[in-house]
Amino acid sequence: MSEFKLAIKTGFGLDESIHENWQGFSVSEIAFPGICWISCGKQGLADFEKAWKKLSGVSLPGAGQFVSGDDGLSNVTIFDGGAGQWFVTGANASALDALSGVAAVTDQTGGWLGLQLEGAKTLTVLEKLCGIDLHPSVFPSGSCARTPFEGMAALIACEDSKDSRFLVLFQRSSSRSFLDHVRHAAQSSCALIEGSA
Amino acid sequence: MSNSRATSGTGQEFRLASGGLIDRSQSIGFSFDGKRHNGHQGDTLASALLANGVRLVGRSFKYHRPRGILTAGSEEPNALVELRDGARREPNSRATTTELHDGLKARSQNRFPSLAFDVMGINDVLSPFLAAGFYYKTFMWPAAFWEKLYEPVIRRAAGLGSLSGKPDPDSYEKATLHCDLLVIGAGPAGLMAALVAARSGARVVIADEDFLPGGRLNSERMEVGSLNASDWAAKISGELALMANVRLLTRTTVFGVYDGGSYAALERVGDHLAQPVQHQPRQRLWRIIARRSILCGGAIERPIAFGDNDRPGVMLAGAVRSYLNRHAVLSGKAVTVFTNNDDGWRTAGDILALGGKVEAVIDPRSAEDVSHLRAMVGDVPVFSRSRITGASGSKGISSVSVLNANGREIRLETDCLAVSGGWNPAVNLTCHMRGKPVWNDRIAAFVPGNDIPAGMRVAGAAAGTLSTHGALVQGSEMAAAACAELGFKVSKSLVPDAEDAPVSIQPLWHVAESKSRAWLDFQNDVTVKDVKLSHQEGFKSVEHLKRYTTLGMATDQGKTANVSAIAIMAEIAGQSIAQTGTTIYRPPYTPVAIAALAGRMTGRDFKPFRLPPSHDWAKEQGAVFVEAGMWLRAQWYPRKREKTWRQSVDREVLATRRSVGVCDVSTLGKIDIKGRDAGKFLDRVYSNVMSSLPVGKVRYGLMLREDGFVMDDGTVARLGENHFVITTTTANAGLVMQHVDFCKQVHWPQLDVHMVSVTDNFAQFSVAGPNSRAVLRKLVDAAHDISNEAFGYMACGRITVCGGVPARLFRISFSGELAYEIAVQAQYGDALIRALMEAGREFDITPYGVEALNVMRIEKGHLTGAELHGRTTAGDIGLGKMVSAKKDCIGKVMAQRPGLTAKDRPVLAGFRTTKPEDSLSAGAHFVRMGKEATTDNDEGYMTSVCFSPSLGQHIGLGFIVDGDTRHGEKVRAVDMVRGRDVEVEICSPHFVDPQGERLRV
Repeated sequence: MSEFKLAIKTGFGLDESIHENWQGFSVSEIAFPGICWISCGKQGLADFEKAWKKLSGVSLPGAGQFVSGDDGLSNVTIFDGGAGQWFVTGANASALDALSGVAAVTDQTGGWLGLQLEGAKTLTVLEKLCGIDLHPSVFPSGSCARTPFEGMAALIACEDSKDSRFLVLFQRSSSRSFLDHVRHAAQSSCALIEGSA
Repeated sequence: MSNSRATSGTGQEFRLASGGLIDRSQSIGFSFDGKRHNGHQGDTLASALLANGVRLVGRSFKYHRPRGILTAGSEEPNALVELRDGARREPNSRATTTELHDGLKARSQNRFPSLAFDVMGINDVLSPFLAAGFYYKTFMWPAAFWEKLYEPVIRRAAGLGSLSGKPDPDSYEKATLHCDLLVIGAGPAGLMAALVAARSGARVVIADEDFLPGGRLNSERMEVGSLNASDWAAKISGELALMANVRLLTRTTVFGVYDGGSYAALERVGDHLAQPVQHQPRQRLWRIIARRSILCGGAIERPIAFGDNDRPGVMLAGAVRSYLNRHAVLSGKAVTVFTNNDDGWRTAGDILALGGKVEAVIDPRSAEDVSHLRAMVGDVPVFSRSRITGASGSKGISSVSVLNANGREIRLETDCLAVSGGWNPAVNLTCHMRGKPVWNDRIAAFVPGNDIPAGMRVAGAAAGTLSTHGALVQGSEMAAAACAELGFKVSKSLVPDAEDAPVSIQPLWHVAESKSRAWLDFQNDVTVKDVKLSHQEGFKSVEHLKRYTTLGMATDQGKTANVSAIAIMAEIAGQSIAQTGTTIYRPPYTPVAIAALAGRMTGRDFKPFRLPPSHDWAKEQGAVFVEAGMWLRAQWYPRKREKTWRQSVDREVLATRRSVGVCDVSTLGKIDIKGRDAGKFLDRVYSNVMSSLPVGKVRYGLMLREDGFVMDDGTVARLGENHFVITTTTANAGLVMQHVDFCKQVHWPQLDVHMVSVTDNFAQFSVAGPNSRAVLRKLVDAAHDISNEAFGYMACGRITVCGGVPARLFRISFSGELAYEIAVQAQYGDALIRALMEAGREFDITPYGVEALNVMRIEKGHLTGAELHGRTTAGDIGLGKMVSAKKDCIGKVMAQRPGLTAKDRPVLAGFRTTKPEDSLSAGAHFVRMGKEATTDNDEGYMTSVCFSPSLGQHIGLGFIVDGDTRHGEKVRAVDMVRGRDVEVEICSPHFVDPQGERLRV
């Protein structure tokens, strides 16, 4: 047995997840136990759908949507990622072993991380970060989309339009650049609550 | 009605004691050219200057003629000033749209030594030599003088304000808005349109460049419904501001229309303050995506050209009315009105109503035509069938010459001339997608044509509907139509009563009897005579007229000039204005600061940055970083007493080759390829066979573009029967991912293959050197045998490290030494580099950066983007045999083109200096010894160079004709740019361990 032990760092290179509160806006890093990418061709879609439902207890989401569940896999969410592609949070590749014959599963746990954005000012903040229409009439709860944030690849999901709660998934290597932009957008939209950062 | 002027205390002798939309309780101090003045909240710089009796505010662009305030809006051509001090200095700011704030410092520009005495005013005397197009003719000899002397002198003499040259201390940002309906302009049409759409439930954005919504309603003495026009505007804008589905953006100019219903708008968030509020941007650039839009941008009044009509104090009649009604400022003590339409008479009427003095009204129309207007001006003299031929007064108008109906010239003393030549609908935005305005005889102006941007409607004065009631009705109707199209149930809103006078105008573009120059484009100093000259020289088309005279090419885009100039060209050419046509406008409607277009993309935020997993650790070590694409990579790790980068890099190379070094290679692109057809797919995208690669093995791969040139190289590792991981160069990671995705989706959608980038997922470190295995053995869990026998050169596999952490191990080497690349999930990256360093302590392990990496790969003869630069073939780089004859692949056929297989193509070779003191430079060209360094004798070029600490001399890689058969021959490496000419010997590109023995131990 090696004498060395490897401790993990958060997506921002810290020991603990970040959480910041602004007037009407909060940012919280979400530590997912696993993130996976799933791809499946048209021919195998029915088999995959069946296997996924059996494993996770939730259906596949429609285009531009996500579905969460807790029956099969605990706290799992599957996001539509384009034709025949899905993102899954809450499960790593080994938890999805049962899908190995029907879809390509790639563990992305180390590569992506999530920020939860919440509060009355969230839409104002997001106006400065991303170009898609996030108005509740267009992007209601349960919607998701892959879209660049200031030139960085991301996936955004509306968890609750009433509370203006969104989840944004983005890549680890650009996490600090990403957070810089979120903070700037928040700064120009609402005041930071002292001591929250 | 009398309204005595406030002459005591405030110094604002032209300010009325009451009225206007200003807050007299707030006195604001400001300075112009160092002189202190006072104004009020609600003033613009222009209105405050006029209130203080300042009429001379600038000098003209070319002739340096004294200029005053012409307009009251963003179309202002004259009153351009420099605002603020130091790094915040902002040149070319329009005084007419600059909100007054306490402490505002404004200066006139383009004058020396002072505004009142500008020595460059000599240009006016020399005007006969400086007519339109003079620079095409005058400065022809000697030719070399143009660039070195004439142009610099002309540019110094003619110009606008100057930048501070210092970094901008303010921040800017970009944002996006989506809406059902974008209403551009918050005048009567815009407010009514927004109200109807908002009440119908549409998501509405209404934007206006002014800080006060209302447009002309704030400048007129009229009623809308039962309210004062400005009160009605305040009531409606107040209602809109409270509606959840409305975004009311004031101080926001929609300046561009683009594809897909997108509009660009600039919000001046902090321009009205001394400096922006903390954390707030100075300006915000909005991208507005609108399903429909209604342009309600109003109309722009135009002057009439007559002799010396650019004297300070000659103003547009509508502007005089704006200053009077909105700012409670009289523009002169004795105002004369010169108008060819009914609207100009309102100015006279309003001045009289507020206690001012009107000297006379001059109208070219007959007494009969203006008889219905006479009551408006009481006993003020009216000169019908008359026109003004000239104005006098050098730094401010003092009198005008009137040619009356009897042909007699009369002189009238006056200190302000209010001119109205009619109104031009602000069609600018309708032209941004190549829409061409059409001529309308009824209002004597161009109106939007049928080819306006998709989804746009036009209402109010912008559409040529010049009455207030007409604008309200049209705004309402257009909004209803847009909402109905979008599926909203339209809410009927009662259109209030308002002024509804018909347009009555007799076109008058210029006064032919004028003896002096008559100005059309005030900002670019274009006169009627210039238009005539343009015609005379054969530049008759409006496009030629524009280029020849520079008409409409200044920062105001000729908003007050173009139509008159076109009309005069039509007159000279003996054709109608419709036949003459018009130029069209392009974005931006008003000038936009480059900083606003950049937004946050300055300095470190110029582009997103990416950090490899070992970044924090490398920073702790004092690493020097370099940008590689978006990545920040450690370039080298300086140690105490190392004075140059070379010392650090040499040490890192030697230490690695002697014992062991470690380098973060996480930035290399990594793509997971999975599926039953993954091997078949890779055979098609790589030039060599990949399907035969055994599980647990790695193969070097070469990827060609469709055109046969090399696209990228990298490794292909087979981790399972249907699972490969390919690596790309750092720079090409995105390009290769795009390429393979395209191949899958477009070329071979039937293949069962799936791909995803896993670059971010792994922290990957190269551990290189004779002791690399020994170091890794301390980390790799005992279950995994990494001995040479069990895990030979080019092996790969899944392992665990440090007590069960999943990892991947690849026995590959870029350095040429025994080496491994070990990858763990990125969250373990920081811990792994620290563990590697700790484990390697007994072997004196050395972290090395990309410079040492580069040196070692040159020593070994490995290639990077310097060699794979898009113009080299597999044959050029000595890898022609890697294009498999057994199968087809992308680029194979095109790679066989004669030009790409020609014998005389330069091929890869190594180069070493023949004298130890010589150094090499990339980009040098190879010339045979004794030959002249000319293009004809050029045999190739150097691509990569370094000092090799292993060999103790400079070496390089490059391409030279027959490079593979000329080893030992000496040639010249000539670098014309750096002035170097070095003798080099052609050799094998593999300088270190050419047999590859070190890799395999």
